[in-house]
Amino acid sequence: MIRRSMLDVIPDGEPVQWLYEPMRAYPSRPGKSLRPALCLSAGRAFGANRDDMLGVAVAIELLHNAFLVHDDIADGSEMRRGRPTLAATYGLAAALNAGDGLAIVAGQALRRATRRLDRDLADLVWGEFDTMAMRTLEGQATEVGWLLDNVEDLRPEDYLNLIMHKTCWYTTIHPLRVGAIVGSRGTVELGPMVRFGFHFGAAFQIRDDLLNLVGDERVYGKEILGDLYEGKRTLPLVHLMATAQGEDRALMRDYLRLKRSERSVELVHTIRALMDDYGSITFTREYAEGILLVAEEYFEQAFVDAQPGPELDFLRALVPYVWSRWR
Amino acid sequence: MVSRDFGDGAVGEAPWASVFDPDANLRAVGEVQARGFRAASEVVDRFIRLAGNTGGANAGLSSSEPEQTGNKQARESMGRDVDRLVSSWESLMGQLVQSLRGSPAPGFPTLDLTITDAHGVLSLQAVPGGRACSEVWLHNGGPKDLGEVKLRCSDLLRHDGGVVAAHTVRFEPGVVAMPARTSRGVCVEVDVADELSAGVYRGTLLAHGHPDVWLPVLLDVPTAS
Repeated sequence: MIRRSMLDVIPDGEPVQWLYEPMRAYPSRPGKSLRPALCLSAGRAFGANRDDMLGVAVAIELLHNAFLVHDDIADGSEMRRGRPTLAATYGLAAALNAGDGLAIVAGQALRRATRRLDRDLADLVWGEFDTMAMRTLEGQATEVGWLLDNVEDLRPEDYLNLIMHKTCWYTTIHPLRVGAIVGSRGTVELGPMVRFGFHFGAAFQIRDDLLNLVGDERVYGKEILGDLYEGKRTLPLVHLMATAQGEDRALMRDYLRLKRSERSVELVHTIRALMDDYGSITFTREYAEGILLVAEEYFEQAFVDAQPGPELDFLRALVPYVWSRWR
Repeated sequence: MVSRDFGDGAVGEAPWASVFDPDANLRAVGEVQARGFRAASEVVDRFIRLAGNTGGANAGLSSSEPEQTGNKQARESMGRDVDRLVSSWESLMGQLVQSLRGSPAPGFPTLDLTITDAHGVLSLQAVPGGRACSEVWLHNGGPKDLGEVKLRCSDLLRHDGGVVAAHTVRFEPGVVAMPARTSRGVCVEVDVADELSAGVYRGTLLAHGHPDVWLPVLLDVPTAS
C-alpha cells in the first residue's frame, strides 16, 4: 500500500531516464516500511482515521528514500536493498537529482495530507517534519565530520548521540510522535514517545550494524562488511577503536585514515577478526541489550492513553520482535 | 540471561577457572548492559534538558512539546516524565540484579546526596600495567533537582608513601545530571602504571558541591605473576 502510494505521487513524463525513473527505483524495491508502519499504527492507536494518516506516512517514507539515495552517494555504497545503488546504476549526478526530487515530492505529499487537518494541527505536523529533517542532517554532518577529521577517540556514548540525531529521530521518534499528534489532535504527551522511540530505535539500529558484520548478504540486502569498507563509525568499530592495543591499535589507525577504495579485502577481514579478538561484537550486543531492556516499560508509558486494538498490539510486539532476532 | 552448568565440577580447579566462572561472567554482562542503559538515558535526558533551556526550533521538539510552552503545566508534565524514568530505572535495575544474581541487590558503594550519607568502600583491583574499574552509585531521593554533580578523588597513598596520583583516576561519565528522585551509576577507572609497586593504596572520593559526602577508596595492586 505504502509502496504504491509513493509511486503514485512521483510524477510521470520527461525526463524519464535521468530523473523520474531513478526516483522510482528505491521506492519500488521491497523494504521494511518500518517508518510508515509506526506512523500509521500510532495514529490509529490514538484515534486517527486511516485516510488522515496515509499521506503523512507516505511523506515520511519518501523522505527516507531521499535520505537513502544521498546516504549511498556520501558513503560510496554499491548495494541497496539487494540491488546496485542509484549512483552505481545512473551515476552520481543523476542520483543526486533523484534524491533531491524525492525530498521535494515528500514535501508535496505532506502538503496534500495536511490540507485534511485543522490549521493548527497541520502547523504542528509541519514543525515535526522540519525538525526531523534537520536532526537527521545534523547527524549526517556529525558523521561526515568524524570521517574527514579522522576522529579516533570516540566512545560508545558518542555513537549513541550520533544515532539519536541521524537515525532514531526520523526512524522511530518522528513517525510515532506525528502519528500520536494527528491521532490525538495535538493533545498527547510527547516526551515519553521520545524515550520509547530512542530506546527501541537505537537497539534496532545497533542490530542492523551487527547484521552488517555477521549477517547473510542475500537476507540483509546490503553488502556484508560494507560498513567496514566505508570506515563507518558503528558501535563495534567504536569499541574496537577504544580497546585495541599495540600493533592492533596502529593498524586500526592506518585503516581509519584510508579511503574506501584503498581498504583491501584482507584489511577489512583483519579488522573484522580484531572485533572478535577484542570482544567488540559481544560488547555491542550486551550494550544494546541494556538499551532495549527498558523499551517495553517506556512503551507502556508512551501509549498509556492509546486505544486497545490491533495497532497497539502491533506496536507492543515490536520490542519482542527485535529481541527475538537478537542473537 | 544465559546460565551454564559445567557438570562435573572439575572446571573450578583449573587455573583458568575464573574465565568460566558463571557468576563473574553474568556480572560482567550486567555491567555492559547497565552502561548501555545509562548512556541511552543520558542522551534522552540531554535532549529534554536542551529543549527546556532553549525552546524554539533548536529544541528539536514540536511546538506542542511541553518544554517549549514554558508554562507550569508543561513543567509538571516534564516532572512526571522524570518520575516515570526513575520508576523504570528502579524496575530495570531490580530485575537486572535479580536476574544476574538470583539474590537481593549487592551492596554497591553509594553516595546519598540528599541525606549526606555514604555507604561502602569503593574497591578497585588491577595488576601493574592493567586497568582497575568499579562503580559507585549516586542517589538523589529528594524532590529537588541537584543539577550536575562531579566526583573527585584524592591521591591514593600506600603506607610507605607510594602514590597513585589523583589525575589518573577517571570518572565515566565525568559529570552526572541528578534530577529529582534519581540514581546514577558512575564508573571509576584507574590505569595502574607498569612500574607501580604492589600493595594497597587508599584515598577519598568526594562529590563537588556536597562537602559532607565522601567514601573511602581502596586500590589493591597485587604482585603481577
